[in-house]
Amino acid sequence: MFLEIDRVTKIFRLQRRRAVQELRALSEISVSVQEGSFVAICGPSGCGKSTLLRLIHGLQRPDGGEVRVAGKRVSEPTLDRAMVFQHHNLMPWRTVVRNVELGLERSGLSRNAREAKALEWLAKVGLEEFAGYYPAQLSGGMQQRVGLARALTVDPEMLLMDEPFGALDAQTRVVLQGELERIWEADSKTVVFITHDIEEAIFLADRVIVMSARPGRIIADIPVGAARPRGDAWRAAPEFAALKGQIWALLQGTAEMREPTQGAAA
Amino acid sequence: MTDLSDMTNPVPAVTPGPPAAATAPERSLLSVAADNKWVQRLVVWGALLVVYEIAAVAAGPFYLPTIEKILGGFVDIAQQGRIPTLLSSLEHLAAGFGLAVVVGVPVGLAMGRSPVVDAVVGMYVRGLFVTSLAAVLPLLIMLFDVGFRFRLVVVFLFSVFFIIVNTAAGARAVPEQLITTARSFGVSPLRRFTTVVLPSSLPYVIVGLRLGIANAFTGMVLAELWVSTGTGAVLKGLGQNRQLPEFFAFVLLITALAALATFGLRVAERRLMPWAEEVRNVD
Repeated sequence: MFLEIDRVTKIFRLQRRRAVQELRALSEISVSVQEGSFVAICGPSGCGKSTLLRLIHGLQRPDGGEVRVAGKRVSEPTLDRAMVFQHHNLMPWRTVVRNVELGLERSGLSRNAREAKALEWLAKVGLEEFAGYYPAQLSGGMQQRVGLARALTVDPEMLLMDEPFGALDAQTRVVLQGELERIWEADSKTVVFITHDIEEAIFLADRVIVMSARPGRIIADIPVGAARPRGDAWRAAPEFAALKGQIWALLQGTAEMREPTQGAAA
Repeated sequence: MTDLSDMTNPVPAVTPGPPAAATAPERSLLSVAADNKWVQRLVVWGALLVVYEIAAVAAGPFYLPTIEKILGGFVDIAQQGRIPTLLSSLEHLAAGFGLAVVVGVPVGLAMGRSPVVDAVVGMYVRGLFVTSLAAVLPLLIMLFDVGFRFRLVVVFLFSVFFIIVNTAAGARAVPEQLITTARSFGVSPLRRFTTVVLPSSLPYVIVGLRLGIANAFTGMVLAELWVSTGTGAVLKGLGQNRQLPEFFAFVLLITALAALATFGLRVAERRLMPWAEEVRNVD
């Protein structure tokens, strides 16, 4: 398997006056992801899904188990896994094109080559004419597209997306979901996409992994077999609604199960 | 002293009385003019000058020189060769302030980014920041004698803490998620400093420099008053001989130079931080 998450556990230690409280964010999670597939991880807030993504990226290290990409253990962020953050995290003092170049700066490419590559990806997200603007001059949706272009410009093998459309209005979100699907179709990278939006997960992913809250565990792994390109027809399909109902029921079940699971973990 | 009001003189902002009175019922050329900041300044400053002139005439030349006497004072100090004295004082100022920048910015950055440095150095910096430096001048004379070194040290001490404290605040305020982003995109720890920490702290550094240079002028004059040299000695002499027109003219000249220095830093700020400027122009 391309990405292997092997019995990963993550514990946060919180300082509370003199006592140190341990919070088990993830408990023995195991997932395997095929190369080129689009996996969405869906769960209530606080279920550790963002933490899981950071472990895959290498920004944090697990307290137990390990994450392997193409057989190699992950310990630090590298450019074959690029992240799109929930908040755009663009540098306000850099123009759009210079922001997109961020990941290329150690690549040994000349300045012109870096810029050409950045402009190419800006064109693919429809923002080439905004290359000279500063991030604060763009709308939220445009900033998020710049963040996507920045991640794609390093030509990663895997794209890690941490609720990238979570802070956008519903309309912009649907537009960007469509664009992401189109871009992914064109050069199918492996994508791990974190979201709490069930519809977003079903619309985009080949597989939806449903997590429960505290400690984060996987409660379901649901394949989404719809043909691509999906578009609005898939959103209106009865299978779409059926899947949505199924995942919704699972998530509600976790809310009721919460007390016993916490007891079992302690 | 074109932009003096923005930095040191809060009067126009606080008393917008006359221009408001001009914006009476009809929206005409008059109301357009009343919205112009230069018209507002002209009205308020003009009114202040008139008030001053009345006060000067009422108090008599022994206490306050009239405006035309002060203007004459500018000519007199130029003819008496005071300008070169002022310029040589400015050399001390430049040396002391330059040293404060070279020391203050790195120390501030280190304090803001490293809890260890902050724990070790921070308490002395914060302590000296609130100490009355004027009170330690006699000690400094004992340590450094009354020459160049003393004047340099005083200017340095008067400005360095403003630079350190503001730079440290800026370095502390660097958004953690931007550092994470740089790390995520393979930027090495050393280069994260130049890609994220420095540009992010820059606005704070400039504020520190502006406060620092204004205080450097205070330090310069104060040091010279204590050891009776340079600009300070000239001021002392003019005051003791009651050459009030020259005294007023000289003080105004120093104020104008200090204002010019802070104005220069604002220009530099706009040049160095175009993103802030362009963002400002959006709305």
